[in-house]
Amino acid sequence: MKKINKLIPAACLLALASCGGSGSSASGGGGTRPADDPREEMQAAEGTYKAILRPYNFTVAGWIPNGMTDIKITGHMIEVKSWLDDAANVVHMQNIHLGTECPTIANDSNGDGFVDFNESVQVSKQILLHLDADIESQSEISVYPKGNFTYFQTASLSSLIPLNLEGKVIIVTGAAANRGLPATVSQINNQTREFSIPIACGVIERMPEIANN
Amino acid sequence: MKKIIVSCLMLTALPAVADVVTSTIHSVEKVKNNYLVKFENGRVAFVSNQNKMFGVQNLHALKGARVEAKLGSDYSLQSIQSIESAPENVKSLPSFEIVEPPTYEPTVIPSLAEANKIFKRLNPNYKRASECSNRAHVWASEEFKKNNIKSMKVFALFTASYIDRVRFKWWYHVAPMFAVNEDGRIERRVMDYMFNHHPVTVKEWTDQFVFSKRPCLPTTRFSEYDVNPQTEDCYLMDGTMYDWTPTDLSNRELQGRYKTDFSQGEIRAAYSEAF
Repeated sequence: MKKINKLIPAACLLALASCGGSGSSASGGGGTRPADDPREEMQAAEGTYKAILRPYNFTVAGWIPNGMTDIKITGHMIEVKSWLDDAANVVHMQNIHLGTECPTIANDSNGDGFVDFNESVQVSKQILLHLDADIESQSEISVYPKGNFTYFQTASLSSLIPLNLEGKVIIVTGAAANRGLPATVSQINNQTREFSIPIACGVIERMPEIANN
Repeated sequence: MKKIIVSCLMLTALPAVADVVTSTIHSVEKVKNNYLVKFENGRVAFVSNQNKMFGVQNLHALKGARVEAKLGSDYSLQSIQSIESAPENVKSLPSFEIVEPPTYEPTVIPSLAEANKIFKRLNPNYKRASECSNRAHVWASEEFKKNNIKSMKVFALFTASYIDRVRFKWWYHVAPMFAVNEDGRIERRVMDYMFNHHPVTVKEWTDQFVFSKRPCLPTTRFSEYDVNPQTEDCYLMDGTMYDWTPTDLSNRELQGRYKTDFSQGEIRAAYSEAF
C-alpha cells in the first residue's frame, strides 16, 4: 500500500503537461502538517455516497464552478463518478480529504481574499484519496481531469488504505492560468498558484438505501 | 510519495464544446458593441454589432419563438433556428387567474436550525446543466407537497450592462427563499442547494453572481428591470413559490395575472429537465 499523505513536485510527462520542479514534500502541499493519520480510518460501509461540489473562491474561476461526486461501495469495490462544470479549461485536481468541513472565507488567515490550499487544509485536513486517473494504484503520478469534466473510476478496496468516506470532504482545485493570483496565494509544491487554488468543495454524505436499487 | 501531473485525463474529459440552448427567446437587447439574446431559461447569447450573419430584425422576429441556438465557448451565438413550439406538458398552463393581487403568506420557519434541516433535505439528485428555474420549482413544490411549507422565490435579474461587462452567462437566476424566525426577527434566507452549503442571506447569495458585490436593487416591477438605464448591475424581485420564470413576474405587472397554485404541467416540465 502506498503512502498518499505526501505530495512531491510534478513531473512533466505529457505534451500538455505543465512542469514543476523539485519543491518541498510537506504533507498536503506547501508545508502543512497532517492533522490525522489516514491509516486510522475505518473501512467504508457498503452503500452510496454523494458530495455536492459547491464553489468557493468562486471569483477566481472562469465560471462559477459546480459539480457532483457519486461514490458507490459494493463488496470490495469502490466506484467513483464525478463531474464539474467550469469555464476555465484547466486541470482540476480532485481529492478526498480527511476533514469534515469545507473551508469558508473565514479560513482566509492572511486576509488576501482567497482561501488558498494551505489555508484550506487547516480545515479539510490532509489528502486521503487522490481521485485521479488510477485510483487503485494511487501511484506516484497523478493525472487529473481538465475543464468541464466527467470522471469515472473503479478500484478494489483491498488496494487502498482503509476508507471511511462519510463526512469527509472533496476539494477541487484549478483556476484559469491567466487569472493572475497574488503572491500571497500558496502553491502546491512548485505548481502555479492558479493550479493550486481550490475552487469547489463538497462534504460526502451517505445516501439512503433505495429498495430494489 | 505522490507526484502531481498537471495534465488532462484525456479518456474521460469532455472536450470544450459549444452549448446548445433550446428555449424560447425572451428578448433581444442592444448594449454597447453587442446584442444580447435572452432566453426564457435564463441563458444569454452574445451577437456582435459587427456580425453580419444574424440580422437584428430577424432576431427580433424570433422573440417568443422556441429556438435551438448553438453558442460558442464565449457564449457568442453561432447559429439559431426556430423549432416546434413548447412541449405538450408546458402548453396548457391552467394556474393563472386574473384576480386582484392575492395575499400570499409564506410559512415562517421557527429557527435557523430548522431552516438548515429543510436545506439538507432538498432533493440532491438534479441533473448536470439543469436550469435554475426548474431546480427551484422542484425544491419549492416538494417542500410544499411533503411538508406543507410555503416558500418564496427570489429572482436576481442581471442588467444588460453587467452581462456585457463580465460576459455573464445568465440574465437571471432564481432560488427558493424562506422566511426564518431568527431570535424573534423574520429574516429571508435563500436556499440555493447547488451553490451553497446552507441557507444564506440574499446579499450573500447575490455576491456569488455579482462580482462587483454591488447590492441588487429590489423592485416590485419587472418593467423597472426591463427598461433600466443600465446603471445597476442587478435587480431583485420576490415571487411566490408558484412563480416559475421571470415571465410570471412580468405577467403580474402587465396582465394582472397571478399564480395561485402550482401548474402540474410546469412541475412535470421542471422534473423532466432538471431531475
